[in-house]
Amino acid sequence: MLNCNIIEVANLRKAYKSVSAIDDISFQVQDGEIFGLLGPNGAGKTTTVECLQGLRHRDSGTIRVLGLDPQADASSLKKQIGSQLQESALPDRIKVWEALDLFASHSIGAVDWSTLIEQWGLKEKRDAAFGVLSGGQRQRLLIALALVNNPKVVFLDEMTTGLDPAARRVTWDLIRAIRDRGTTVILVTHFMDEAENLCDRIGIMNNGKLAALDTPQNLINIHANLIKVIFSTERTDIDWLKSVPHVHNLSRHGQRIEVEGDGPVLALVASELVKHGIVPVDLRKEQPSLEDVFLKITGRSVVE
Amino acid sequence: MKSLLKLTWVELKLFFREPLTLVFSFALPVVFLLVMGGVFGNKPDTSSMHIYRGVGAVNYYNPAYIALVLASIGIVAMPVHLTSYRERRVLKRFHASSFSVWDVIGSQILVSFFIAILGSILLTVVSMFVYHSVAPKMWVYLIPAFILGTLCFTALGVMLGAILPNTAPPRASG
Repeated sequence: MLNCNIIEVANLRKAYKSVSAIDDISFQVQDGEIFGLLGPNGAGKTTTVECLQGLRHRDSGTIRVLGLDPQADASSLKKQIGSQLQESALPDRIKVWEALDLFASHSIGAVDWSTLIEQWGLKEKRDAAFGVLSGGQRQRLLIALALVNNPKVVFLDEMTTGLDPAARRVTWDLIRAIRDRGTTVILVTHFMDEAENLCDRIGIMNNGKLAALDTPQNLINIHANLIKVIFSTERTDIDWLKSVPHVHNLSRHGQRIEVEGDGPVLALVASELVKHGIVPVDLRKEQPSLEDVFLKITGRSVVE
Repeated sequence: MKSLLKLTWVELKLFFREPLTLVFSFALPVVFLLVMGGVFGNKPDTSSMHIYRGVGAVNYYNPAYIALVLASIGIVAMPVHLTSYRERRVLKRFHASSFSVWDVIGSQILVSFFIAILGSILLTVVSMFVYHSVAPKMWVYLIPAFILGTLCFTALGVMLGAILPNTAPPRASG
């Protein structure tokens, strides 16, 4: 199949009254991809995925999800996608198994929900009411509900909010497993590590625009390409490091030296240090992370 | 249709797990009936005044409290239920999984009918046992009137649930 775009968005716009939430964004998501939308609060991430799921009406532009228009073919589309909505809930007194059974009954080709209960660690809570579940348990149930109809595309909006670090790791593994079974995953998040670890490609949104779109590694290579080489030494005569190829900057904080550079800078710096008789035991390099990219593009750090 | 029935079944179970609405729908009208029956008895008024149009007070109040059951469903239970669903984004959750508006409203109407029928039978049985009130005779009128009454109040309930911004007004009216 040549055209394996499962989602196609072109010139999408959406405004709430006079405030523009999405301002002319276009992107494609490929079959079997984990696609992340990353951005500060109010960047338009949730509005975008809600338009894709047919939960909000766009002002202009075109959207195709699985070849369908989310507005015109809402009903048939919703049967093929899974949704975990930001801040949604279930009736307080509904039991875990009842919720899964209810949503499974509604879809054709539903998976066996007892497997989902086990996978998402809800086995002990099978007969517990939604109202008494902890935040993390609720979140896991809502993700399980999104998967109960065995969707071709699943939208996960802030899925690890409320989960403890261990549960987040487990969730990541489960999401990878879902993708490996052929489901395309659209992930809205404001966690850098989540986006970097999980996503094949990331779109960074800012003020309703898609500011950048690429693989995590490419984003880092393009937008935050300087590697930091860090070591400690008591020697002060180190200005010769500036003339080493691929070195851009040199800074000193007490005994700690930071060399910024690109490409093979670590090897070059290391060999020069040895030649000058400096053999630091703590020589290491720091790769630029997605956080650096995010800071550079949006001009702000993520508020968590 | 399958989703409607499934949703109705779940909603029915949820209704029976909510002690407050159970009391409101079933116990309160019966208590009212017993109080009124205790005060006025069920002896038909044979004087020239013809209070209660010449029938016993309980015979007179029984249908009135059946209407109270219907009204409490339409004015309190259903608007509270629907607005809390919207506030907590339960409706959005249903919407995202392509449960149609008619599944949601239809299940509410079916559950309301069930409560109305159960509440009415309970009231009538109590008044027949305790006050020997007369069983309904004109079923031909009773059944359509009951269906129409229930539909009217559930329609009101759906409308209130749709237009009220949050759960405060229907709770206050309750």
